[in-house]
Parts: sequence; C-alpha cells; structure tokens
Amino acid sequence: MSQYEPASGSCIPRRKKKPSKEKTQNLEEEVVVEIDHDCLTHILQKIHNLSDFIRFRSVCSSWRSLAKQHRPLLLEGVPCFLHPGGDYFHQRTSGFFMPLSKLKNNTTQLQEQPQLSLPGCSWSYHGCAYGWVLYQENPRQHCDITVLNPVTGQKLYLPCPVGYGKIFFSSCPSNPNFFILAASYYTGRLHRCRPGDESWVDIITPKSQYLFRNLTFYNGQVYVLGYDLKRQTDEVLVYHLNNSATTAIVNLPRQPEAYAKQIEVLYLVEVRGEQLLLVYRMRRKNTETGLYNKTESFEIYRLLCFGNGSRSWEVVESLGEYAIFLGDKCTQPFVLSELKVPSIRGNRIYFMPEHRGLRSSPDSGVYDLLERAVVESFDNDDHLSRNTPSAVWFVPAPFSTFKS
Amino acid sequence: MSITTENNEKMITLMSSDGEEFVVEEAVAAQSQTIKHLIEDGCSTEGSIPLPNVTGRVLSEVIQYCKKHSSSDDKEEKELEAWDAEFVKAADDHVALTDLMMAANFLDIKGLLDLVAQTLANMITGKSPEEVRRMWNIKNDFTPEEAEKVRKENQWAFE
Repeated sequence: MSQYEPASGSCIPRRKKKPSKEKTQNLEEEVVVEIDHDCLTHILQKIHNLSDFIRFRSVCSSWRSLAKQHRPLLLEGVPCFLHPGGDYFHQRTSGFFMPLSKLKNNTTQLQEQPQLSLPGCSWSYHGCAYGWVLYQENPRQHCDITVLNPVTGQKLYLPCPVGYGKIFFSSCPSNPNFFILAASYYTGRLHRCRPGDESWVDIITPKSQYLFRNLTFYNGQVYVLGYDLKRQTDEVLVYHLNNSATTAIVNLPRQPEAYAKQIEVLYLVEVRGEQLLLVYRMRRKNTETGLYNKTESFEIYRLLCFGNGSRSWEVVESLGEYAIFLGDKCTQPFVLSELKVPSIRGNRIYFMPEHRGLRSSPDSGVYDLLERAVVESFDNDDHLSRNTPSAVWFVPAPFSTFKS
Repeated sequence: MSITTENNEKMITLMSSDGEEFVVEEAVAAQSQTIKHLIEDGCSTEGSIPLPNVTGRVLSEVIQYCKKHSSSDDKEEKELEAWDAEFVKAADDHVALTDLMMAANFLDIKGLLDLVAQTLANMITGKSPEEVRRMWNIKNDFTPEEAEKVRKENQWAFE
C-alpha cells in the first residue's frame, strides 16, 4: 500500500493522496480531496442555472441541505413551450410541454418529458409567468381562478375576475408580497388581488377612456401601455398603485402602424429592475391567410429617466447577453441571459404568436438583432404545429418556495 | 524575523505545513486578510508565520497569485483576467483547485476564492450528480424517500 502514501521528504510537495486505510481503493490514480462547507457554499453561489442547481442538490444529503440554506437569488431554467391544453373554443386538449433545447431532437417523445400536474380538459388558460400558470376551471360558469405551479402542483386561489384582459404577476407567486393586476381591455379598468382576498380591488386609474395593451412594473411604479381614445394616440402612463395621480405620460418614440390591422404589436419588458424596454413587433401579411401575422422585425427602445422627472426613449441596438421571450398577450414577457441558460443565445428575441386560439396561424421563431432578421422558425415543428391553440413560453420552477 | 530590502520593502517569511519557507514582500502577503491580521497582531516579529493548513505546493501558487495582483494595480483589467484564466488552467484539475480554494478560504483572499469557486462551478456545470460524486469521492447517502424526491426533481434538470 506504500505506493499511495505521500512522497515524504520530497522537496516539491506532491498533491495530497489519501492513504487508503479504511477502504480499499481500486482505482490506482484515484486522488481524494475533501471539500469543506465554506468552499462548497462559494461554489454554490456561482451556480445560476436551474438545471445545475438541481444536480447540485442531487449529489448527497449534505450538499442538498446546503442548497436549501443558500438558494441563489436568481435561478434560470431552460425555457419551454407549454401547450396548456384545456377547453379553448370547445376544443378539448390536454397539456404538454417541450423544452426549447429538445425541440430539434425529433426522437424526443412527449411521454418522456417529466410530468406536469395540469388540470383536466375543462379549463381555460389566462396567463403564465415565473413558471406559474393562471387558469379558470369550468370557464363557462362564473368561478374562481387558480394560480398553479404545474411542476410542484402547488396552487393558490383567487376570486373570479371582474373582466378579462391583461394579467400581470407582481412577482413569483410564492413570494409573500405577490399580487396580480388584471387590466380589462374594454372597460379601461385595473384591478388588484392577492391570494386569499375575497374580491378584486378596483384601482383608480387616471384615465377612463383607455384601451390597455400592456403593463409592467418598473422602479416601484406601474407602467401602462395603452391607447387614449380621446387623444387617439398610444402612450405610456406612469403611476403609483396607491395613488391615482398619474405621475407622467410618456409619449412613444413613434406611433405604431395601424394597430387595428394588427400590423404592429407593442410590449413593455422590464429587465431585472434595471431597464424598461419598449418593443415594437412588426408583422407582414401572410399571403396564405391574408392576415397580418408573420413577424418580420423588431425595434427596441430603452426608457431614459432624467433627474427633473422627464422621460424619453433611446434606440437599443443590442441586448448583449440577454434574450427576450415574447409570448401571447396573456404571457408575461421575460428576459434570460445566455450566460446562465446555455441553450439560448443572447441578443435575440424568441417569439410566439400574439394571439392564441384556433384562428391564429403559426408565427413563432427567433429574431436576431445583429442580423436584423428572423433566423429560426418553430412553425414547422411537429409537436407545435399539430396543436392549436399555440403554445406559450414557460420556465419551470421546480421548488415550492422560489425567490423571485 | 522581518527583513527589509533595499527598496525598503518589508519582507516576511511564510511557512507551509510541510516546512517550506517562502520569503515575500509584506504587501504581497497582506492580500491575505488572515496574514494581514497576523502581522497586525505582531505574530510575524518572532520569525516566520506558520500556515498549518497550507502545503508548500499550494502556498507557492497562492503567492504567485498575490504577487501578480499586488503589482498590477495600474495594469489593464483585461490583462489580469487573461492571467487569471491561465492561472486556474495551470492548476490543472479539480483536486488541485480544491486544495487551492481551501487555502484561499483559510487565508481569506477574496479575489482568489471567487476565481477558483467560479472555475469549479464551471467544472460541475452540465455534469450528472454521479459524475460530481466521483470528482470528490462523495457517497450517495439519500434515503429511499429522498432518492425518490431527487429523481423527480432531476426529471426537470434538462440537458
């Protein structure tokens, strides 16, 4: 056994080899070091990818308990196509999902995917964010809505909304301060609700004749993108939730082209509390269907806030490491970094059709900002094209207490 | 004993666990918060500072890092980054890196600790739990119930 002993008396100390006292080492050059808790914690803090975090938790019980204590603040998982299924225009389908990284792998069978706990057939999808899905069971009856994490099966309940429209999650639903904002497209009203609330609370909005198109939070304020029916312009309203006074109206860098014809769609995308982006999605007429729904290009602006309270927009040429994910109008846009999610590429926009439904035609793909072109299309994928209504973006959140 | 060079740089001697002695400028050694505090507490006046947790091989690497980082205040950050990358590459494998990391942790050198932690984190990225276990000879000690939870969770750890 002496060959395993450290070379004593050598002037260049060799790497520590553990003498095999307790157990027989059958691998000749097996080198053993023990890693202490402190160091392991430092390594863990460098892991930001969800898959790697899950693997870390799976090594042994002490690594697992360490991962429980030191959960990194931001973990990113592989984005998936979630086909929520449900009763959509009376077409009953069951849900499934497909990780983006497996899309091109034709041998992948849907049955091989991990299970999602989605409800049965009679439900309708109303939105998705932070890996949670908002839906309503028995949509034709007047009933409550459910916020579900399809990975963990965790559910939260909310009262039936006053009207349907844009849904916005303030944070990950497992966050204690979580609430939902619902903007009704047609009444121009905004409502707020927390899990456990009896009903939705009306939020006094600064404008009544207003069509909501999109909303988000940024710097503690609500940014609402909409159309002022009186002024007949698209604009961004900025206000505090608890104070009906509008703090500002921000004019858009340019008015979108013929909204009614659905040529252009606008999104507000918040990037990790650091930036607010305004995204113009430009579409052209699909020669087969005659509808304006083939995405052709994107234009991005960044909000600039000045000391005197004024705001303006600046053209964004590059997103750097970040990629934007735009889903249908119910799905909250989000941003991922290519440094943390190896299967995506930065400076790109991953998009899905703006409308889900039987009448929507496929329009999903990837736009590259550098090449200024749609570089990839998912429209011909077997799994996706076979299923209407179309899928939505979904990032699985496999832990019940997930910090946002 | 502290020695002073012609440049008026104060030198101190560090002694590794296996008895190797390293004479370095105090400014270099003081990048380690642990050593800095030992010097401040007057532990170096009696002779060399013993570092019972660090072998000579590892200590020489640590000193190499500290030298580079104490002399390159005005150098470009990019050059230093490239040097760091080469430095961890030369450390060769996860065993050497683990030793280095434990030393950086004990000596409290934040930059080095960060650098090595990142390198090791990159190494385990994409590896299966079994592969990671093999790296550090870790025993899979989950109970059957835990193992089932782990298995379910791992369904979500996509390639």
